[in-house]
Amino acid sequence: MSSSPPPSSAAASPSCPKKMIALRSSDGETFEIEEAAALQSKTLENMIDEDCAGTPIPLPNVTGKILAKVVEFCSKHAEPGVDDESLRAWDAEFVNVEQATVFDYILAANFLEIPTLLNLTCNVVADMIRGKTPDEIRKFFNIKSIFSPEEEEEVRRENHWAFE
Amino acid sequence: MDALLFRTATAPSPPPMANKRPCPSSSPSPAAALAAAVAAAASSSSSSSSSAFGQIDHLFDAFLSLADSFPSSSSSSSSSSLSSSSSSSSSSSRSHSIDLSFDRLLDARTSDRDQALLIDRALRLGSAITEAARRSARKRAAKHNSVAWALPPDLTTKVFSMLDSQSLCYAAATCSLFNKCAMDPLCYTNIDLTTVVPKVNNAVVSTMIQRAGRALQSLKLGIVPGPTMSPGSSQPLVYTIRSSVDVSNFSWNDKKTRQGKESPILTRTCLSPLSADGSAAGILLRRLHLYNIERMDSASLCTALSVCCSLVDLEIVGLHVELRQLLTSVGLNCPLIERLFFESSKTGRDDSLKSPTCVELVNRCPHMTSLSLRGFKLHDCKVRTLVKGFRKLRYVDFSTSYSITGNFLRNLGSTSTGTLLEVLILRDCMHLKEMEVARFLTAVLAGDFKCLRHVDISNKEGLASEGDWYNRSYTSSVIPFKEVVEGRPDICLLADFPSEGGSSATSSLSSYPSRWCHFGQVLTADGCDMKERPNPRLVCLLPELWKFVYG
Repeated sequence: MSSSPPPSSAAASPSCPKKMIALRSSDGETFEIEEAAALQSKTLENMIDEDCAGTPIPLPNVTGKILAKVVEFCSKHAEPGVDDESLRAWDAEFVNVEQATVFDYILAANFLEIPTLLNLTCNVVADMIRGKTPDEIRKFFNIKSIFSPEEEEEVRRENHWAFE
Repeated sequence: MDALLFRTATAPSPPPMANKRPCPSSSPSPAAALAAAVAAAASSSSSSSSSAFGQIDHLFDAFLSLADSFPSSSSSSSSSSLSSSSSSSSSSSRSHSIDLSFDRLLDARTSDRDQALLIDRALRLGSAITEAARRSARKRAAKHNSVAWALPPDLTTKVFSMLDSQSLCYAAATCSLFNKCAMDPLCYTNIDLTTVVPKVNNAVVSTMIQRAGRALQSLKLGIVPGPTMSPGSSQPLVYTIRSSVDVSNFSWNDKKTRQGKESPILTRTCLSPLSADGSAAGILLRRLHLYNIERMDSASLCTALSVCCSLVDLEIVGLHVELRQLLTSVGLNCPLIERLFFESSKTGRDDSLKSPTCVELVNRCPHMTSLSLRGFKLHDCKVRTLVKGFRKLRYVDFSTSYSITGNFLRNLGSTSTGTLLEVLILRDCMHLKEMEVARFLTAVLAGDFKCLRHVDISNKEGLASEGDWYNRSYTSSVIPFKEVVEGRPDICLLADFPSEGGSSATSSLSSYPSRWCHFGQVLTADGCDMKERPNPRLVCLLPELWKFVYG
C-alpha cells in the first residue's frame, strides 16, 4: 500500500486509547480491529474516512471464519518493529492452509482491497500452478477441460514451444 | 427398430409423430423397448414427464436409449462414451447392432441415389448429435469448473501474471477460462522466456511481445543453466550449450529430425519486435535480460537498445558483444538506466573499454546505482572514472576482471561516490593486489566509505603480491581483517582464500541484511515497482574457462 500512512502515525497520541473499528461478517459475527490495522484495507480506509465507523461495518462478502483470519493478518502487518524475515515466515505459515481457504482469502483481500494479502495469496496459487503440465493442473484443481479437441489442438499449437 | 429407422429414413422431412411416452434407458431387450416407444408414439396420452417435451424430444429420447442396447460392433471412442462399458463386453453375443441394422436398411434400398441419401442422413444426424452432446458436456464442465475454481476472470489473470511464460502456456491449455485469462496482456508484463535448453525461437518472442501490448515492462530471454550451486559464488553465468552437462540430452541432430517444425533458435533479429510499429514495444521496456544468445551480435543488440529509451535494468550475459560498443549504445539510448550487469562471453579477452567511453557513460547516465562488469579487462583509471563519475552508485561488482589492481579505490572513500557506496565485490580478480586491499580496508577502518555494508575480495588463487602478480598471497598480515570486523560491525566482509596457501582468512559475518543478494538485484532508492524476488537460478562453473585462463 504505497499510499497508506505508516502505522506509527495512525496510532493515537498516548493520551487517547487506540481506536477500534467494528466489523460484521456476512453470517453476523462481529470483530474488532485496531484502526491502524484496518487502514491496510483501502475499502475500510474509505469507510473510516467517511466516519461511518460508529456502527459495525457490514461486510456481506466475507464470512466470519475468513474475516477472523483477515483481521489477524492486518493486525500482524500493522505491528511496529517486526523484521522482514520473521514477517515473511509468519506469512508463509498464514497461507499454509487448504486450497479452498486460499481462494477465500483472495476473494476477501480483493473485496477489502488489501494489496499485501492479495499479492501473498495470489502468489500461493501461482506456486500451485507453476511447473505443472495441463493435466496435472486439471487434476490438482479438479477442473474439466471444456475444450473441443480442435480447440485444444489449436491452443497447443499456439504455444507449441512450451510443450516440446 | 428397423421399422422406426425405416420410417425416419424414407420421409424427406422429420416424420409427424404423436406424443410418445419417453422410453426408460435400461430396457430388457432393444426391440421391446423400441416397440414400446413406437406404441407410445401412436397414443396421444399425456406423459408424466415434462410437458415441455415436444414430439421430437420424445422420439429423440427413445432413440438415444439405443446407445445402451445397440453398441456398435466397431469400438470407436465416440460410441463408447454413450454406451455403458458393460454392454461392450457382451456386444459380440448380440445379434443386433447398429451396423447390421444399417446394412439391412441400405440393402432395402434399390437405387444408388436412395442409398447415398440414407448414408448422408445418418452422417448428418450423427454429427448433429455429436455436436449437441459435446456442447452440453462443455456447458456442464464449465459449471463444474466455476465451482472448483472460485476466482473470477480478473483475479485469475492476476494469479497468471505471476507465472513464468512456460507455466502460463500450460495453464492456457488447461481449460477455456484459463486460456482466455492467459491471453490477457497483464500476464505478459514480465515476459520470462529463459529456458535451460533451447526451446524458444523468434516467433515465440514476437507472439509474447504482441500479447503484452501496452502492458509490457520486462523481457528476459535466452539460455540459463539450472540451479546447481550454493549462493555466494561469482562463477560466471556464461554458458555454452556444447560444454554444459545440463543439456546432455539435447542433441544438435535433433534439429534436423524436426520435420517441418521451426528450429528453436533465437537469431540475431529476435529483438526486432521491439522496433516494430514505431518502436511501440521498445519504448515501454524497462527491464531487458539476455543470456547466452549465441547468434546475437553487437550490431543487432545496439539496434534493439536504440529503441529502449525507458530502460532501467539491463543484464547481458554471455553474448558476443563488445564492452565498448555496448556501453556506448547504453549511453546514447538509455538515459534512465539504473542497473547495468554485463558479463563477458570471453572472460578476460575483451579489452575494448576506452576512457572516452567511460566519460560519456557517466555523463549521460546519471541515475546509475548498480554497476557490474564481470570478466573484462578493466584498467584502474577507467574504473575510477566510472566509479567516481556515477554520483548515485551504490552497488559495484567487478568480479573475474583482469588488469584491475584495486588502485582505483585510493582516496575514493571521502568522495561523494565513496560515501554512498554500499556493496563492493571484487571476487576472483586475478590482479587484485594485497597491498591495495590493505590500503582500502585501512581507509574503511578510518571511517571512510560510510555506507559500506558488504565487501567481497575472495579469490580462489589468493591475492596478488606486490611486484609480480604471479606470486600469490593466501594469508595476510597486512590486511586488517579482524580490525575491520570489530571496528565496522555493520560491514559483511567476505575474504575466502584457498586453504592450501595457509589458514583460511574467512571473517565472521555480521548480521547480513536479507535484501541484498549477490547477483545484483534491482535496488532502487525510490522503491521502483519492479521488485524482484531473489533469483534462485545460479551458476555452474565451467572448467574449460579456467583451463583457458591458467593455461
